[in-house]
Amino acid sequence: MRPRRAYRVTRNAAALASLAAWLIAAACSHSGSPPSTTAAAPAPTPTTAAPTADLTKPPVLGAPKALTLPDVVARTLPNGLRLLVVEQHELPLADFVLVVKSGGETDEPGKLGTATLATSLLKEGTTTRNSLQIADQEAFLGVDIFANSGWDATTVQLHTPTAQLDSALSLFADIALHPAFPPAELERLRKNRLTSLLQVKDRAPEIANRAFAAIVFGSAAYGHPLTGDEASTNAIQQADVRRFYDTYFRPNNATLLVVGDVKPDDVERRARALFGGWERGTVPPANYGQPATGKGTTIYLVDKPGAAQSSFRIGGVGVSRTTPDYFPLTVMNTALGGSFTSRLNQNLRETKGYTYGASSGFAMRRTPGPFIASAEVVAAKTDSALIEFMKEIRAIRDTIPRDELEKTKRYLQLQLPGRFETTGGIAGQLAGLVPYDVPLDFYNGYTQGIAAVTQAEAQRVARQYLDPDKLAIVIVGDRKSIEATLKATKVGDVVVVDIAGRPAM
Amino acid sequence: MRLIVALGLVLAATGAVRAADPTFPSSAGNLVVHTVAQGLSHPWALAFLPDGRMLVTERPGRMRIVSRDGNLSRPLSGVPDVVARGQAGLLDVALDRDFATNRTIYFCFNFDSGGNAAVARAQLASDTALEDVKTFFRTYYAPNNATIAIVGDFQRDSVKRLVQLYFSGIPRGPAIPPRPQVTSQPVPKDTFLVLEDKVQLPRLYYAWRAVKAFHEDDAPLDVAAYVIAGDKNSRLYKRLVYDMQVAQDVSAFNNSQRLDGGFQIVVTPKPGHTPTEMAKLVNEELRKLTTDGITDRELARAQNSTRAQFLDRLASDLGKADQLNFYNYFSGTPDYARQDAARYDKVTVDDVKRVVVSYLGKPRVTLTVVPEGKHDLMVTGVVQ
Repeated sequence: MRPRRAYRVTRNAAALASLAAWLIAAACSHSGSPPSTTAAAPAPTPTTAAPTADLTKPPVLGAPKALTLPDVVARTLPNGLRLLVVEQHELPLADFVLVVKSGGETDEPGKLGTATLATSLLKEGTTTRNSLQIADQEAFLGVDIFANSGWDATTVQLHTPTAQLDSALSLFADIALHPAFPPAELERLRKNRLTSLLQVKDRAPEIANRAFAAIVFGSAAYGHPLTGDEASTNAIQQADVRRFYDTYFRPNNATLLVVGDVKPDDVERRARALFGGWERGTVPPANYGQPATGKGTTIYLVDKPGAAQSSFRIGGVGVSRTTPDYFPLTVMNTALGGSFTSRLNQNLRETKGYTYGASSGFAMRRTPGPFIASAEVVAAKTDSALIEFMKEIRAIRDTIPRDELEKTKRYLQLQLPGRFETTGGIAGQLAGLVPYDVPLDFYNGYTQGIAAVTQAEAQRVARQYLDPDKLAIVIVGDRKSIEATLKATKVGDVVVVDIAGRPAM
Repeated sequence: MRLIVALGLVLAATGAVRAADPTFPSSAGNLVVHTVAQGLSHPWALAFLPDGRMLVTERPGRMRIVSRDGNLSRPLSGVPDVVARGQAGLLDVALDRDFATNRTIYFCFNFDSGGNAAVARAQLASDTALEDVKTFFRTYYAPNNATIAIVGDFQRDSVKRLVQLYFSGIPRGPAIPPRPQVTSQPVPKDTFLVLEDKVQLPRLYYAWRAVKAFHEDDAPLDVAAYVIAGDKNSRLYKRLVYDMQVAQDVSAFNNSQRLDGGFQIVVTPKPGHTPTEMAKLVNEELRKLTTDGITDRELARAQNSTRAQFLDRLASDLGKADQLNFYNYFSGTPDYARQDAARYDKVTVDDVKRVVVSYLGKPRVTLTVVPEGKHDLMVTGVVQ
């Protein structure tokens, strides 16, 4: 190691800042040599011998520092488009996220995958730009534009240096507001999707995700794959994708979220110019349906002959994003399987060595989403891993010792600031609140919300939401070598199913 | 007897002769006996491993590895029970001619009191022992071989104090062994490999030897990778994925590391299309690049996208720390980011054409990954 002296830190910080400045100045040009702006180095400070720590003892932590999150400026355009602006001036970057409050839950039977296909087509042609022209401008401007449909929401996101904001925003607004859904592009994406669906058969984790959702949610929302299946992919017509777009892409069903090196007034002026003419529409509420009540704990086995690993998805229907139990559930789940030192990971990975990682989580959506505990497990330990999963799900219902609870709460509180580091990070956190109408100051109360969770509450939610007698256990693996041992665990009946959760031979 | 002959070979290899070593005359000249290893009980046979260590049998039923400087390993596990009496026991050992790839060995032993002998085939397990891991750790995971970059919301003096408190007590490790010197050689001749896997679709991999990081051709090769498969308008993506729709995906990487580098192109054909078809199309596009070069617009897209990525890498504290450490390690200058970014602005269309000719025009490794039982999909020649 070369001697690292204090003055280097100063020089590096200055150099990084000047790099950023130079990158803006030089953006989209090919000439000009970088200005020399490296700060003069102050004299190094002499080092004195200092005491060293006892590394066998962890340091004592003080109280977490108060986190002041940046203000959100909220405005509404006359056509109902909500505008949220967060200033973040460290780097000359900005993220513009159009959040449309509808997604794959609007897919109709027989046409599953329409929302994601429509959204993918936004970048494949507008009324004035074709697919290759869009891609050419995106690369030339050095910007990224993403368009994705998930559950409950669709987002179109622009990540751009602010140096060429005019050009970048006009491309972004064109993609969001004037899609052409060209038939040739629809056919190309259809073919692409059918090939991807073929490749899904190679991937046990993806097979497990699909089977689990189908078994837990059935024909209710969240039960089908967002990208549909072969039959639905073949059935979707141009009129279907256009209907999704025309119905749900309406300003009164959308929020434009802007984070970065921008000013609210300037953003509002640009938003009015680009999105002011967007017409309101009547947006029908989505029919979420009602998942069937879970039966007794059952093992659903999907055969993947010769698989070296078994994919586990264990769980059932959980809670919605607006659950009053958000904080106790977050703490309880983090202790169970939401961090590296959680019980599931410690047991199945660190102690037993069955897997590279085991985890759990509640997907909180508009209506209750799934609770899932998962791992990819070495085939020979499939039965042993199931026994350990069950042991941990039962044990968390007993009690969480005070030390463990405190460690878990601290972990959640201290990792919060890192989620707000970058323009994309801030935008992502806020975009997660918008579809559910969660107040935008939610994260200002997060540290206290976590702090208030007691042992009794953590135990209550574990007992309320984790029922070891009503679990759907999906395991994708080599049936020949694991079926008998799974039966021998007597955890539940073993039912052999296919990728869509239907009974198979 | 065997053992003595073998020791003679060791002697020839090491050339170490001590004055006290006994000497015997022979028709081939004087033989000098030099003790390489001690402590073996009835050592019977020996086979040299490719790395110069020796696999040695002891007649009572043990097999050990003897290091070049004579240290004995513990007895290897997995050796069958032998009946050792008189001249019986664990006897000869030999390596398979393909030992380097299959680690197969053969040995013979007596397994009953009637004098019956068996020949056994076995695989020598990989011998990365816990001790090797510890040695690596002690040698390289040491403060004199490490740098810490700390970036964040703190007072500089308080962090210096914390670093002093927690890191200064970690003892320095041994001197770091000299780094290997690598002279980058192109792949000597076109090489064709096939790998069967449990997959639905085959995949074609092309790989060339390229340059180490910050070599003068490194940035032009990065631009070449972008122009070949970096965006929707790139040569391979536009032709194979977008226009013809015969491939599901394409990618190209210039993977330059500290000692050396490689360049790769990977193509997954769509169902109904073959790796050989892909090879032909890739080679057509590479030929166009070598004759016509790239356009100004292609260069601008690559450079502008690259510039935006430089900015993005500075967005988070971890990103900043990674950049400081990366540049310090690779270039010796922690704040080299600006010079690095400038390399990409200097790249010209001629540079890109030149590196495509001089690196991708050389012999390459062609690997075809095929679904089980579909060996006929292997690309077996330079397809033009």
